[in-house]
Amino acid sequence: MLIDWPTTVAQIINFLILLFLLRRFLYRPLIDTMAARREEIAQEFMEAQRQTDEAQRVQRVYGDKLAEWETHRQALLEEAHRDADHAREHMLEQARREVAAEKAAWLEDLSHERAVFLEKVRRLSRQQVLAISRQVLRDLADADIESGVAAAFVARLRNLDSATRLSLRKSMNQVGQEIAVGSAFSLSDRSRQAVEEALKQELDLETLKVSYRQMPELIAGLEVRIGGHKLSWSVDDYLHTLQDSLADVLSEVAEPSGASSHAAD
Amino acid sequence: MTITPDTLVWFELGPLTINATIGFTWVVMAIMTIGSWLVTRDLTTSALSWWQNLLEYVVELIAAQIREVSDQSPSPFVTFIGTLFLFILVSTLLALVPGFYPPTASLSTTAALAICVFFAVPVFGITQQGLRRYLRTYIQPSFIMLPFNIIGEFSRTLALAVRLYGNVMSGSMIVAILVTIVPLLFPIVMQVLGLITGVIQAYIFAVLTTLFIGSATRSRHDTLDKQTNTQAKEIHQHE
Repeated sequence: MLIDWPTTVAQIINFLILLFLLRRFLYRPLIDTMAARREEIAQEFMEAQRQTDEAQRVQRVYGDKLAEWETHRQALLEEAHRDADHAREHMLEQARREVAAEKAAWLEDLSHERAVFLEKVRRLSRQQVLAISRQVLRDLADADIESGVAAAFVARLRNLDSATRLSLRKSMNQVGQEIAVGSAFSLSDRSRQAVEEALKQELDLETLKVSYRQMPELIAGLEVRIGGHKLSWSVDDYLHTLQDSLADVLSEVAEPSGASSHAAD
Repeated sequence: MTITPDTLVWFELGPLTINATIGFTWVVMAIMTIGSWLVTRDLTTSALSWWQNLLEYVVELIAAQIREVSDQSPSPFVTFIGTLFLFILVSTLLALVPGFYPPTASLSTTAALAICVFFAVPVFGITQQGLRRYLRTYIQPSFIMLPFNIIGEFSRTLALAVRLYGNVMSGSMIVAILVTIVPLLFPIVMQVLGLITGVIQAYIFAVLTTLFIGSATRSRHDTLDKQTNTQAKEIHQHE
C-alpha cells in the first residue's frame, strides 16, 4: 500500500496548520484590506457624489444669481436707455427752441434790414422822381409859362370857396393892405395887372399894395402870402403832393411784402 | 528511484518518522507562510506593492472561480479552497527545483488532502444550512438513495486523492525515467509538461472541492433563492 498512515495523519495536521497560518497571514489581512479599500472607494465615491451634488447646488445658486443679475442689468440698461432718450429729446427740444429763437431773431434782423433797405429805396426813388420832375419842369419853364401860370392862379382865386375867402379877408384887415406875391420868373405887367385885379375883386379891396419878389424854388408858379395865409399855384406844390403820395404808395408796397416774407418763414 | 517520497526518511524523532513528504511539506508551508507574512505585514489600501497586487489578484481569482463554480458567495470557502489550491500549486512548481520532491507526489499527502475535503464538505454543509437540513440531503430524492449517497461521499474522496497523486507522481516519474534514458533537453520539456499538468491538477482539485462543498451547501441557498423569488413576485403583483 502506497499510503503511509502516520504520514497521512501528519500531513492532515500540517494542512490544518497551513490553513490556520494562511488564514492568519494571507487571507484575513488581504481580504480585510480589500474590504477596507472597497469601503474607502465607496466612501470616496459617496464623498464625490456629495461634492458633485453640492457643486451642482452651488452652480444652481450661482446660475440663479447670474440670471437675477442679468435681469437687474437689463432693467438698469433699459432705464439708462430711457434716461438717455429723455435727455436726447430734451436736448433736441432745447436745440430746436434755440434754433427757432435764432431764426426768429434772424428773420427780425432780416425784416429790419429789408425795412431799412426799402426805406432807403423809397427815399431814393422819391428823390429821384422829384429831381427828375423838377429838372424836366425847370427845363421847360420860362416866362411865357408865367402868363399861363398867372391865368391859372387867377382862375383859382376866383374859384375860392367862401370860407377861405372870408378868412383871407379877415387876415387882410389885420395885416393891412401889404400883399407879398412870389413867382419863379418875374411877372409881366399884364399878368401883374390880372393878378392884382383878381385880388382886389376877391378880397373886396379898394386899393392894393403888392410887393413882388422872385422865388426860383417854385419852378413854375405863383404864391400869395397874406399874413399867415398862403395862396399858391406852383409846380413845387404839386411836387410836394406827389412826394407825399409816393411816400404813401411805397410804404403800402413795402408793408405787404414784408408781411408775406414772414409768413413764408 | 522512489515512487513516493514517504520512503525517504530524513530522521527519527522519537516515535515519529520525519520523511521527505513531511519535510518538504514543512518547506512549502514555511515558504508560503513567510512569503505571505512578508507581503501582508505592510498592506496598504492605496499604492499597492507588486507582491500585494499579485496576491490580491490571486485571492480575487480564487474567489471569482469559487463564485463561478459554486454559484455562491465565496467568502466562507476562500480560505479552505484557496489553501488547497495554493499548496498544490506551490508544491508542483517547486518540483522544478532539483532535489525537491513535491509532497503532492505522495499518496499519503493527497489522501490527507482528500480526507480534509471529505470532512470539510459536511462541516460546510452543516454550518451553512444546519444539521437537520444537511442530513436530509442524504435521503434525497428518496430514502433508498441513502447508501448510494454515502458510497458516493467516500468514492469521491478516494477519487480526489488518487487523481491528484497519480498525476503529480506520474509527472515526476516520467521525468525521472526520461533523465536516465535521454539525459538532455527532452526531460526539460517533460518537466514543463509535468508542471502544466500539476497546475491543472491543482485547479481541478480545487474546482472539484468547490463543487462538492457547493453541492452540500446549495440546497439552503436554493431555498433562499426561492423565497427571494416569491417575495419579488409578490412585490410585482402589488405593483
